[in-house]
Amino acid sequence: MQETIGDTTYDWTDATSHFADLCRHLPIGEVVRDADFTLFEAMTALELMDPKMDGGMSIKHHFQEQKQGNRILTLKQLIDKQLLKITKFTSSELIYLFDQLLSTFHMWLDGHSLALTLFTCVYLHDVTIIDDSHLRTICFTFIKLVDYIRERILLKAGLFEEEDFSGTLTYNFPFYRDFKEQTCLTDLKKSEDELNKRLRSLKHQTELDQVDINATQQLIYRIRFLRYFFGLTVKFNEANEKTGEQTYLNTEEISKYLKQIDEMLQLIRPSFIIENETTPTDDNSQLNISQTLLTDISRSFDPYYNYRQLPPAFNRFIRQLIFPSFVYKSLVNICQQLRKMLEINDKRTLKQSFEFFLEYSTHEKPSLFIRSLLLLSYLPSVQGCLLSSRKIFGQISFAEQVKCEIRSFIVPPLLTLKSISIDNETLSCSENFFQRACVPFSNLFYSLCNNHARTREKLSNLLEEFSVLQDESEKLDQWLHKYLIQQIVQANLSTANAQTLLLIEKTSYFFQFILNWTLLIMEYYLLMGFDLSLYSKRELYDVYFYFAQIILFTHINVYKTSKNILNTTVPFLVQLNQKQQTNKNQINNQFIQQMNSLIQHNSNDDPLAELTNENNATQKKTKRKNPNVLVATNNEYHEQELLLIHGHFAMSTAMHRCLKALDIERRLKFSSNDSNYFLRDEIRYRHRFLPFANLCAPPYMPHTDFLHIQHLSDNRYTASELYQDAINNFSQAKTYFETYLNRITTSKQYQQQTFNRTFTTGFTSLIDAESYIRIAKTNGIVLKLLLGGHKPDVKIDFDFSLHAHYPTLKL
Amino acid sequence: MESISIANGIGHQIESSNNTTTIDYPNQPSNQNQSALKLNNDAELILKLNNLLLDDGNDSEIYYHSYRSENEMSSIMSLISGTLSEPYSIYTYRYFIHNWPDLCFLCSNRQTNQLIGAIVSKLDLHKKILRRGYIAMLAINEESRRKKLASKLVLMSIREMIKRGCDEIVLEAEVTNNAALNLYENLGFLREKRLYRYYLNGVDAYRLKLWLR
Repeated sequence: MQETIGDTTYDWTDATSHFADLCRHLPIGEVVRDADFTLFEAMTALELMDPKMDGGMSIKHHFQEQKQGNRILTLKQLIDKQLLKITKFTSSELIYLFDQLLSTFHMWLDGHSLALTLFTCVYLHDVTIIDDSHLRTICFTFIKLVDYIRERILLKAGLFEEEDFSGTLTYNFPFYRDFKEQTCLTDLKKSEDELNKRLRSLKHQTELDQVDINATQQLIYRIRFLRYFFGLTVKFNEANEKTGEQTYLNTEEISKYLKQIDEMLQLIRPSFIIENETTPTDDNSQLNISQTLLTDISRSFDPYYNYRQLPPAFNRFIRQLIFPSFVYKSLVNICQQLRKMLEINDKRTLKQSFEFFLEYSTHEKPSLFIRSLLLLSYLPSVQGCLLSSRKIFGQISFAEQVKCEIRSFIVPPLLTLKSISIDNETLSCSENFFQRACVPFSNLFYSLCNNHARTREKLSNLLEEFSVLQDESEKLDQWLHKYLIQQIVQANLSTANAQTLLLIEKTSYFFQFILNWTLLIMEYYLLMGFDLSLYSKRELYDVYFYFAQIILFTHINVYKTSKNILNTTVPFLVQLNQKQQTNKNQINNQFIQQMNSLIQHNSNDDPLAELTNENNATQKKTKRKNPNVLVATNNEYHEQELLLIHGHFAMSTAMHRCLKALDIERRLKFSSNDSNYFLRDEIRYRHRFLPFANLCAPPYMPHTDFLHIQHLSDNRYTASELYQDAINNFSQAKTYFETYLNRITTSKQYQQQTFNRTFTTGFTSLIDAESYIRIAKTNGIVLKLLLGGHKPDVKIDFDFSLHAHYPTLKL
Repeated sequence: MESISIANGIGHQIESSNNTTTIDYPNQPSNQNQSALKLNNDAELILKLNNLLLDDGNDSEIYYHSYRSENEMSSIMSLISGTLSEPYSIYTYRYFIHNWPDLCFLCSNRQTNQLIGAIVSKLDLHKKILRRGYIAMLAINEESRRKKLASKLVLMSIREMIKRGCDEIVLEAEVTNNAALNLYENLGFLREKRLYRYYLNGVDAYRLKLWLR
């Protein structure tokens, strides 16, 4: 029998009875298959009579005509049969189409495929067929918008995984690549002008058609919104056509666009389809459009249009587009997120950028689109360039930034003494190290832009890279130790302070720097485990113990070391620099030569800058005000970081002490010794802390040693002693966090804040600190009760609702 | 391969065939004692499991058995598709159950022979080195919930996997499925990872893992 589907005619033969007959010869459970075709392959293969794969099957809820003939009508067929209009659209029709397209766009951004979103609009399959200039312009713009985001933003950022996004498949849809973005923008302006003319003439008619007037006005707003939004999007990761290099992100221009978009969004009333003409309400929040006005375009969206093109095991089938009111609200949200994202541009140091990335991804929970924009704003892509060779903001070499970072953290003589000249071997050895450091550091920022679940995975891989870097840094330190002392001694300084020299000699500068970042990553990795609710209650003791006594403890020492170095050696280095310079502008040190402009730019963060600039009035004027950093005086290096680390240390110590006490008093609802518990402590320990196993520092300890330390720390004490210690620690934690909050909120930067910043230091934001204080307070009270022997039979529960990182104890 | 019957519960027998080939324990770079230790650990675990499965007062209405023939396939499919959120084609069921019939445990009503619960799992070599057990599906019909039937099925599956030398056991569960999460966590499964938007309905999942080595 013959049958026509779409453009093809098939000639079928019925094989049902023949097939059934042959099947009768198979016993139950026997399957006929090719030798290479296993059951595993079968899981992803075709299934007869599945409408997705089998061309002969009809789809249940499809349009009436289709059911009869098993056909999906193409655009051309719809027009030929006069089932779809292509000219003289009313304003109401255009608004409906616009809002529907916007809804598909939103769903595409959310991760659904183009086949099930944008290209369910039949018009998009051949835009040139449309006779109406407004609709044609709108359609072209949406296609270009999607194309740009896909090509220049999502693919360039390369952040998505299977679960985030399936919108990269293009299914041979037309993208009109010859049509330029600029043309779209011009055409949109033209449409807008024409519609304004039309609106004016409508208003001057003798009989005012209020519906048409409202609709036309709303249409104008939408077109203007689209023009701004498209204009905004193409500003991101914009490539200079001649050189192919990224252009610097113009934050002022983008802010302007965002403002204009916001204005439009205020004015647009999302459309809402109503069944029949009801009495007009005063509800101005929506634009009601009667169904009757849309009959000519009722077939404009067909969710099954591309069904046959979808791969067999496809997921996320959608049946209904999201309501316009919701879509417009989410657009407002996107604009807010973009505005906040622009703050990345005044981050001067790696640490500030790191903190911003953390804060942004935790509090804003951005979508893939926004995350990609963030990464591309910080590290714009360049054709054929690896992530590590990219320039920060398209301007600063990553290696330079790393050197600056090391310099401000721990002032190594290699990067601070202007007058030493460095021999070639040392130069290449050090430069090698800096170049290699770019890889894990740039990967760090890349990792932070993934979705939260993936970020944690990527961080564990990153620790491998950092362990290699730790090795390299040790080697560099060894090399430099002897070399630099020679240089300093040769300089024959009578003011040379023997103690300071000794300190310089025995400090492993680069190792300390890498260790600092390694610890930051370890801490964030561990805390993310809490954010993602990965730890079971049985693990809490080990997790808090490891966190406090191994990671935080080491980190406190690192900050103390760095602080000591800064306090002790900075004056000495400054003196040396001043003495040695015969010519004020002469800098022999090649590294300082390279970074000089960056150092000047970041003078607020440079520990050596303050002292040298004291007496230099002209230089003071050029000192930029960095809104992010509290200007530190001599004794306050790392003050905020230390307060927070001490706070966390006290909290975690309190937690593991009280967990031990609760265990002793049998107040826990669970135990690892349950008869049906099959996970051994040692095995759990090894797997949970596996990412930390290869690091030089903190050195990995086998479980037996870990138990030994725990024994020394906690097991020797009675429950009462442990409770008391926990109470003290919670109180200390509270003090540390309160001091931290105080410092920040009384600082000038905070009080002058123009944006709604959250001021994160490390991985702790102000909101976090506030929650920690409340938790510490509550726990202190509960523990006091337990210390007094309150309700001895009642078990304790852990409530993470205040903050994922630390539970409140509940009786 | 010969059939091995294992005593389970009071007078109940489970017929199972040893289809999954037992791989000889690979030569470890560490000394002999390690493998001996591991085997001892395994033996210990199996003993523990045997005791657990004997212990509980069994409902005499219910009997446990492993998969016998394609005849049972349709009842398994209807039970599981009725309770789980993800749709599976028949080929998915066949892939697991035909390849690892000895890791598919069922429990039915003794009188009516109606299928009450089922667990479908497999044991495979992961990345060429790790013997990884995977619990694909677990379902108990609505009327028979909260009777520890699911735990028993899981324990049976785990026991079988350990017997065949398994290093770890994994599965995925929706973050909102507290019953499943509690069941497995009480047995020692930990949340190894969070899987963003794992399920068709957009819900996140946890990868639960029981490390045995």
